[in-house]
Amino acid sequence: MRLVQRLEAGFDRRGFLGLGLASGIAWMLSRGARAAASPAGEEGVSAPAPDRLPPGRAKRCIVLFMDGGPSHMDSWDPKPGREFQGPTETIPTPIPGVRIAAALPAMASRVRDLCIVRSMTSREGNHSRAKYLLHAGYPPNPTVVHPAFGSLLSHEAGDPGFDLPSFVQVNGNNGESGGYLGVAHDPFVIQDPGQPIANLAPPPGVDDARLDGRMEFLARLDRRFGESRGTEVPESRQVMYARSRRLMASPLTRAFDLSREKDAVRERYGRDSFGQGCLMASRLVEAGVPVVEVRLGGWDTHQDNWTKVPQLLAQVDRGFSNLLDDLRAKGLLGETLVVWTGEFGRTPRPNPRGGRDHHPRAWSMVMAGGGVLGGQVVGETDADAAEVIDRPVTVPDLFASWAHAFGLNPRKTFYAGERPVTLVDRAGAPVREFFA
Amino acid sequence: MASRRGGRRILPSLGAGLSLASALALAVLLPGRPPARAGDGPPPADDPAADGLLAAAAASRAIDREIDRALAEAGLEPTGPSDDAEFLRRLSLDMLGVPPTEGEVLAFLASRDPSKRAAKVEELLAHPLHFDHAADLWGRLLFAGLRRYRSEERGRVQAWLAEGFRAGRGLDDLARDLVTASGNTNDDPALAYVLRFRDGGIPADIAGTTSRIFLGVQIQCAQCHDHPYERWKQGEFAGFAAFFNLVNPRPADPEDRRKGFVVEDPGLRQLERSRGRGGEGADIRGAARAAPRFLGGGEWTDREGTTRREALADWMLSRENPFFAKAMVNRVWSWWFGRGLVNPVDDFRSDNPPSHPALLETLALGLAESGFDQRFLLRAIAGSRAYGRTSRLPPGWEAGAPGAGGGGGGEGEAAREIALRRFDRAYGRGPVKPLTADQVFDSVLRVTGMDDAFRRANRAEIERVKEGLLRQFVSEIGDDETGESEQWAGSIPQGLLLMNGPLTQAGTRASGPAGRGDRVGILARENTLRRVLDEEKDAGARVGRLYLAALGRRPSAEEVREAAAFASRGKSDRGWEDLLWALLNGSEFMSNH
Repeated sequence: MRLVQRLEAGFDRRGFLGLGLASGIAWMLSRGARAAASPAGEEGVSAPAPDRLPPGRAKRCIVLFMDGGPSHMDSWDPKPGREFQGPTETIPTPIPGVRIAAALPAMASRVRDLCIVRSMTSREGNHSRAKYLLHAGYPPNPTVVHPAFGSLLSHEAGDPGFDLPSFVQVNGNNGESGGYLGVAHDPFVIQDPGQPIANLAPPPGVDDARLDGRMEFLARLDRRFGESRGTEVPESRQVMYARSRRLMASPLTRAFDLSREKDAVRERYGRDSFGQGCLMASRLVEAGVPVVEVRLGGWDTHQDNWTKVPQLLAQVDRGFSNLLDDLRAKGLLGETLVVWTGEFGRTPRPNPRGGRDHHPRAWSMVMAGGGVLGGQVVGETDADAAEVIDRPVTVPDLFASWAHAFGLNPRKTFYAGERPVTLVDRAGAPVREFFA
Repeated sequence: MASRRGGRRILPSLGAGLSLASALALAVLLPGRPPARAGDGPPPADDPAADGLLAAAAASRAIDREIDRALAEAGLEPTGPSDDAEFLRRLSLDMLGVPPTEGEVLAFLASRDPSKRAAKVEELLAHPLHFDHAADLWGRLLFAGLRRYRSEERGRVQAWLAEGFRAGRGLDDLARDLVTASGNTNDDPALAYVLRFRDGGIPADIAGTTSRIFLGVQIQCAQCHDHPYERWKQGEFAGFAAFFNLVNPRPADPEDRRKGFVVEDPGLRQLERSRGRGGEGADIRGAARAAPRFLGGGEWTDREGTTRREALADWMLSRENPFFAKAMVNRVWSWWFGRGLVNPVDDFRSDNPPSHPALLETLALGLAESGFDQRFLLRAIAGSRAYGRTSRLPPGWEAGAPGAGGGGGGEGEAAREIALRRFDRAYGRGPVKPLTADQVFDSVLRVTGMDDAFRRANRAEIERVKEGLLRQFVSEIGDDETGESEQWAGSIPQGLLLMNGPLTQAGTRASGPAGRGDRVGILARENTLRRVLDEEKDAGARVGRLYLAALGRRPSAEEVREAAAFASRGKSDRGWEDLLWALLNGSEFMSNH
């Protein structure tokens, strides 16, 4: 069985293309080759024992979230020549036999960095449920609000003493929250990366001394109210106010200010909100923010699929490729896991309005950096991209893999009220092919 | 168990043996509580308004009976009644969306009328802000989760809802208009509900949302898979969605958006033609061509003279419908108590039973009997002891103490929190809940005295400013399925808005405009702070006034000392600005408790 199609990363620039190999051999070869050629100082990792994965080395995470459910067939998993493919053009990649949408030329030439997963499968075909699943790793449950993965990372790996928020979400929020971890781990939401953070400056005439006086008195009021009501609310609000205060005073907030970038750089990423969001993500992880999510909406292409998807892919191609290049140039790619995903795929069979509908049974997602092996395609769908026929990956598997990448114990147990919840759904297991 | 009243089958009455009829009889026979209306003695029996009050009073007692019994069974001792100031602020925020003014608080505290709370309930039920607030709550719900925040359409539908509440229309009546409206959107604001689904949301999304809001059933999950726990199957979702089939809004004039959209129901022949075409079970659009079918009920056969949407409304709003009344009760209950009797509020399932099943039945029955008059529920809740309890912790519950009454034992803080949560879920004390974004905005305006300045601007201008501020926090959601009204969760951006934002700046500023173009200063010209500083020279008196205005209560002696010392630090008015700033940013202000 062909589990993975791989490129021998590191040789591509020298014009040497590796062939897809049975995974058992591939991981050894690719390991060595990768270590030899990595430009970003990614140290070699000794070959793992067959039953053990190499330790995770991700420290930061950037999620590019494609809101609405991107069409896998018109992006990462095209089926040229099939009736349902429609007018989507494809181009080859350095991995023999692997083609992706022609609207992704910059990504095609960076396939050596990418782990393209074509065998995602889930059961949630409703936007909000599926988005919850993709953010929390659990399906929605009436009795517990699960934290988003970013919030979990913020809790597990974030530094509470750091000036900037641990989890920044760019281009809006869809209800993702810190869940049972509390409001301190909610995402810090930037609605528009082109705008400065709203209300960051204190009112005129309120200097630091006054501000401190206000905060102290506020804390006293809240303490008294909290004691009388016994609620956790005032306490979490104190945390929030303290962090707001620190943020106001921090020079690091410059990382949010894209006007400090050269125009050429801003152009390179694309002047759309996604491109600018990717630029902000690059700046934020450099400044030390451990998790950034950048959202791009508009993928719910029930109509005009073939007009809309190429436009969206053009934004993805610019933003994603520039992000990878800059992370590499800053020496951050090895420790930064970059994830591109939506909440599900779309039906291969077009609907009468020139669109595709929701399709959770088979879809694609992409990873880069953070110790995940690039230059490979994991899994496969059938001739029409409708069903996974090889190496199915569930969302809990994905989360278990991310937990591994960050060195987190997926079985770590939290308490949501009285109810024990593990960090990752017990149904999930790390996907070996991502790492070895 | 179903009962017959007046020859009709009606909602099952409660298993616990209390029917509304018996409760009503008790209410008439036993002088248990003072009459609900102040001053004028027991109302005559043939007065429909008086009947309404009696039914609500009986329902209040049913609430307390069920809640107290469950508390007793759990061995929990509820808190005592709230004091007048606590009650008035809670009631005012729930009824009007804003806290009471200084004058209202003083008058209420001074009144010696033993039934002043019931009288206040009636007063606020007739208050103009009440209709707006009720419309805000329902309007946000109907328009929650929109890709684009369609504030203009929502504004129109809210104005229409407010008018409906003012006219005393029933929830069933309003729901019928929303679900069945047709014609041009410029003529009928109720069409905004259908219209919000125009971008591909018909029939699937409108079916899912309608089921969720009006029936409390999450049938949309069956869109893609059979519900794991419930009886809903994909076929049933398709059958339900079929009621909205081919209801597609189209622009009245493609060249001119101002001419609005037209919504029409398909004719029999159109429906016939669409049927059976491309009908694949798993495909929503195909499945929506299925025969229309009521949830858990029979099929509907298309006929001349009744549109499918009308048939759906007839079924949904009939007395036999097991979902609508309960969904309405649960929704309103969750607004007032911060949590539904069924939780999540719109997820009625056999494996998600109500916390107080008999209570839900009674209130649903009473609501249906009242003609789905929302005021019945508001009176019943506001008149209950459960709602009127103090939200202060009873002795023994403070941090470090073992869970009193809860049997939590000495297992530390976690045990205490668990016991406290159980206590709260049993309604052992008055509700504590964060304000909604609307309430925060409106409350800041009112408390700082800037609502007059705003009121002189027109309503559209107020809405524009408000949306501009709220938009920073309210999710711009990428699809049409999610929905809840936004709570002020206390994120950093929200914190920054309240700490530094334009409203707080203007509201806590003691000086007028610094020059032309100082818009904040213009707003600040006649704010509460300036007025209090001008009218009171004594520090203690100033503290008292500001506490009354901001928190709706008098400060304790210790609070006066503390606050006066804090505010009088310097010579200028700055300390007073700082004090009001702290009051407005505090948890006491930011929650309804």
